[in-house]
Amino acid sequence: MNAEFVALVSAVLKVPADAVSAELSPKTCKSWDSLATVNLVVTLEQHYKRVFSINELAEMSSVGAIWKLVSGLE
Amino acid sequence: MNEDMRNDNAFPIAGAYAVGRTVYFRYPTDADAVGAWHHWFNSPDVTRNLVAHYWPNTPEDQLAYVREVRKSRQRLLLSIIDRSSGAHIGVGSLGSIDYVNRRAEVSLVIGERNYRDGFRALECLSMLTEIGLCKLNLNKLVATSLAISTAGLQLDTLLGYRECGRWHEHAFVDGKYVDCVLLEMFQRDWFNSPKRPKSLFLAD
Repeated sequence: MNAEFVALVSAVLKVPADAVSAELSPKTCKSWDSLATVNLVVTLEQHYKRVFSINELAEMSSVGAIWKLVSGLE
Repeated sequence: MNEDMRNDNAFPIAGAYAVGRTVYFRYPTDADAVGAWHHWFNSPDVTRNLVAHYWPNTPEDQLAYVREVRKSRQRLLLSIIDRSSGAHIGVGSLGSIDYVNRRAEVSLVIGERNYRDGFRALECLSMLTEIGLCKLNLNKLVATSLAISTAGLQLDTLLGYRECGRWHEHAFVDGKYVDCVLLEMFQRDWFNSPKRPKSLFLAD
């Protein structure tokens, strides 16, 4: 995961950058609720100038899964 | 075979009405009604952002509601099942279905706290929207959300629902009146939306 992506996730989820790992998910992150999910999706869509499909959103179960999707856009 | 065993051989998941990647919808059973479901509508963290539900909810009340609604063609009520665990995690519905003016009201409750990660809600709302606007060929769906329910409003907006009005001081929450925001989605917009599921049977 690159620093730019980690910084975005860190800011939205309100966790330190060094706590952003591929395994981080709503199950393991207390601040990752439904509002954080929506904010994360909106932030990523704006930053990467790409609208995610509902099928892609359904696959965003962890930071690692999100990075896999996002890194394919770069 | 009891009523709850109907459609066990249906493709691709027993009893499924629509299947997404993380959840599927099926008809609500009597067991659903007297299970976790009736507890959700007694829980303040579920009912806080709902416009109704002020009275205690009993298993008998929930069962009577489900049995009544199952007979109705003005409300399509569906149980939401998490695909990975098989748990009944919430309910979604299309209510006040008007076949002349081709509109309905969409609503969604994820009752189980552990599944309120936003992703399931997004997929559920997308599936309900697809059912309403494609399967039932309605022209418009309307969603309502209390203005204080930021997550609910943003979720609707992310899927492309647009604010079309507001009922001022519509609900009394935590000692003060709050507005209720009305949002709408037209069939023509949904059909061009990237948030539209490719199929209502994503059984992979």
